[in-house]
Amino acid sequence: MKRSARRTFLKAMSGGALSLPLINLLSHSVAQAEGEDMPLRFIGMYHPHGVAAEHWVMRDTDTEDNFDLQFEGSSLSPFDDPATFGKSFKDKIIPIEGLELQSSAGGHDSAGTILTGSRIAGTPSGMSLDQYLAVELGLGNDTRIASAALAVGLDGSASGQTLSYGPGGAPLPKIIDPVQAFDLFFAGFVLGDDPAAIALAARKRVLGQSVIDFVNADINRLYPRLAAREQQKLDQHLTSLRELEKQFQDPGSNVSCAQPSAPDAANFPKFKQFNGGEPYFSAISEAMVDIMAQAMACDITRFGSILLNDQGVDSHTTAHTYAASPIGNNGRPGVGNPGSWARLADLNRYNYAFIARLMQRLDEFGILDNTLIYATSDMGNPALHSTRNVPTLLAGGAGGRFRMGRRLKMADDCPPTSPYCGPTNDAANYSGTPSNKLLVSIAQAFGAEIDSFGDQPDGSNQGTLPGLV
Amino acid sequence: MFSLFLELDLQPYMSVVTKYCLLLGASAAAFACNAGLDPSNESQNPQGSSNGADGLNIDRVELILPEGTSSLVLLPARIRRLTNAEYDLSIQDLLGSTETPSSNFPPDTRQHGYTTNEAQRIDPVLARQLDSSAISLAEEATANLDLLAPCADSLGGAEACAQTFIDQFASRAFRRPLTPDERSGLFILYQAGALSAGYLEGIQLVIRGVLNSPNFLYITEIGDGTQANAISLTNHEIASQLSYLMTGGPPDDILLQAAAAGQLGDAAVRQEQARRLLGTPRGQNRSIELVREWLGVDRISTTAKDAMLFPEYVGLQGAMEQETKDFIRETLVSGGNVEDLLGAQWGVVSPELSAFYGASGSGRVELPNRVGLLNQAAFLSVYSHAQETAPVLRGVAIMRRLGCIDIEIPTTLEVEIIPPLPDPEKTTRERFAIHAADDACASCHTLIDPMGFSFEHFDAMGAPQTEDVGKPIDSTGDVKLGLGFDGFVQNSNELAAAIAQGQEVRACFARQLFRAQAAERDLVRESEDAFIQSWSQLIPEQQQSLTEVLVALAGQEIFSYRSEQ
Repeated sequence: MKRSARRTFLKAMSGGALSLPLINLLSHSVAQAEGEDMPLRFIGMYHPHGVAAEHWVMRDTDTEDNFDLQFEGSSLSPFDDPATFGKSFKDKIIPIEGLELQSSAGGHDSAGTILTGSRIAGTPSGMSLDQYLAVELGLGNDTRIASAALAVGLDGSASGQTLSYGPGGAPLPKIIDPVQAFDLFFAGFVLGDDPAAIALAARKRVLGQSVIDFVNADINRLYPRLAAREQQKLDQHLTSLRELEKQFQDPGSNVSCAQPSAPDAANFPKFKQFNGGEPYFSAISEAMVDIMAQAMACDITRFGSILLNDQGVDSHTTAHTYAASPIGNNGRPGVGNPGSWARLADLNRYNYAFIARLMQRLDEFGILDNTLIYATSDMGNPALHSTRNVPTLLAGGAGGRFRMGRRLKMADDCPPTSPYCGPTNDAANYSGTPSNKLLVSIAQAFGAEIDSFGDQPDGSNQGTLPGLV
Repeated sequence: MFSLFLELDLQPYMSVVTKYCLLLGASAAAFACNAGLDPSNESQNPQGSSNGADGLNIDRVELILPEGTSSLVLLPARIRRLTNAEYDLSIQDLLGSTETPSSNFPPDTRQHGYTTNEAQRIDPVLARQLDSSAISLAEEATANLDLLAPCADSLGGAEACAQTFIDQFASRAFRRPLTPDERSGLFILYQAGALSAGYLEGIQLVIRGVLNSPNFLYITEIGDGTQANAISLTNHEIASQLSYLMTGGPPDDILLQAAAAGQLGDAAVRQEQARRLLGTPRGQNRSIELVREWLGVDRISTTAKDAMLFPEYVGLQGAMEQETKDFIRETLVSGGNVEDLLGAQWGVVSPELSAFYGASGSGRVELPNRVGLLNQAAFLSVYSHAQETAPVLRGVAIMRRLGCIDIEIPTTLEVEIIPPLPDPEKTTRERFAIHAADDACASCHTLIDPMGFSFEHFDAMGAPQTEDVGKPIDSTGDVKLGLGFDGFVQNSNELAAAIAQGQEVRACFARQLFRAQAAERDLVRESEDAFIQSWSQLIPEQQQSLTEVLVALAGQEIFSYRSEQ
């Protein structure tokens, strides 16, 4: 079954790439003018180190439709902060309490479960939602790039730092250099109308195409000399060249989106974690968010994931020394430490600010209402490495498929005496709501006719999340 | 990204493991540990010799293998993408550049801890980076065109000059003579670049094309396509095998000449070349990397510590990495013996690290409390968490890397892990004692933890510690792994001294070097066992020597022959 999924996938890929009429890339503005539905876009996002529930969950006075994001210490405050982000996005989000990432990996590696809904054994056992929508369903075929994975600092393929996976849970590479991310989407776009620049861009395309032709011929000479297993390596290489080739094709002249401006590499001389990148993570996060928004606005891609980071290893301290409030300390001795909640909330707010910025940009480009952002973290209570109560957030207009501007709370997943518990606390009576249900709901919002998503041996990958529509 | 992905050959592997665990549940843990078996090795049959390399319209001749060689033990014919480090050395040799473009590439995939592996793919992100790298390298190289591609008459004679350049440059890049098709393909590329731009841009485009070519990016192990049943690698392929294993870089002139003269089918010549290459500066660096990857200590550069608890870590991280390298280099003087690598009571330390260790002096110093690589700061830091020691990681590293026991991770075995909570009343050792109390955990952890606990006299960055949460450290351990170094130890220094003398550890060391060369996803047991069989014929001094094991490997039939797939 997995094997055939791969073949379908490759077929979809090559078909999409090869038959791509470039003029369609930029057709959404035309479609809009004719009154057709704008396509729905999806962005999956991750922020590390769990959540300080004390600064995140609903207040006693909050209701589903009427809630406050500006209370003292709120980590969700960026979504109701017009002074910083132009307007309040309070009516464009749904924070959801009580979801569980069923990763069986405990802690950090659960990032791989966020979009796959699959358990982790080294890597997740299934593909991620963005790939399912863009490739398996073919919703990404009409754009220059089917989907894109961006990240801040981390370009490894471990499941603790990867959101997007192909069939069988093969981790997809991420771009961590904003300049490279920009080139991915916009290389070949001629900025301005300088004839010399236009001629240079044309020559670059010709040379690039010559190189592609040569390498293709080289691969095709090698190909028949290999057995099937080895040919797969060249299959992938050929597919990669087709993606590269898109950059050497004429992007057309009627680019209707805002003229994108390239990021200034001087703002991030380093970008790898543990390799000097940490001081630039804020600037990189902003650049990645801006680039993703621009790419979506230009309809170069409709599916993406962004793996956020934090400001280096000190945040580990923040997460690991988080001592939940007394009632929520998993029934263990200790009185909690409000200072530790506040520090973790600062970290959460820091990352939410990038999501709010993304919403601001998408809104400026006029596509926020037709975008669905799904953001969460690898953990709920990070000191327990708990995958319950992960801070789930839906954002954007979701094309009207979901009723935004609310707060949702799933069934209690922990005993009242320890509301932010770890996975095995009183398992007989309390279990989390699998995040798979949300993935199914999102997939259905995109038109997928499925009622389960992700690989869960116990069948908990079934069904939709109640209350979204 | 964009719909493309790293190769998926993970899948069959994953499904085998999953099925196994579903059948056996948690009891698989006990089985896997007690029997010393890796469930994933159920699928270890060699690739059946089925469809082969058809597609060439030539008659293939049945290859007669040398007497005593079974095609069953041969590794499969394949192509293997250059690792990041191999790419850098290759472009440096080719262009005289000092650039290391791969520092911007995604990190290498790893198999069994090694960067050389057949799972390396060219995904869309890398394809883009390779092309960017090729463009800037071409520009850099042609800044001195007279040196790289001299042409007295770059107007009238440009095309002839280009032909000469293509022949020299591309055959060097492809590590073999060119075929006529390749030559003409590259000349077309030259013409495309030179069109209305001139010689320089033509040469640049040739360089860009060559550096993007599969013939440069993959090391082939497929023979010349004329053989059936089994395959003998071409002399040029053997040259690449030798060179990338022994030096991490492409063949040098001497090796290419030996290949051109058809001498590398001869085991004695291969061994002589192997020994020569290992003696070069690049060969020494490669030996150092092999040892670092074997023990996983090369990950020190990406290992982070909680800066609040270990404020001095960042400042010492580089010194720790350098210590490992300098120490291994020093052991190479006598062949890189296991008893030195794991059992030396000396080290090579910077002044800062010396102070951190509480030693006196810098450079090569006596370090009786830092026995071998396992008790050096790099190993201790890598196999720790950001805030606390990790007895399990340390113990498992020894089982996997020094014992060649392939224990499964708990999640694969469907055992749920709950990390022991921080508890200000309990030492790390006391918290991890829960393992022994839980049946699902105990079967493996009674093997792992005693070794791991013996390191408790070192903290998470390798500093000596005498207390944990105010209680005295207990670093004793009763090791019962059944690998020849069992027994009660006071601490990890005693453990390392015992390991350094263990015969099974030396056999594992030879297996590990074989794995670094085999670079296959699944362990190829038949080939590995065949190699260990001939390794066991070496005299004891050679059996434990990095240099001698690699030289022995170069002489094997499995080094120069491949099976059809």
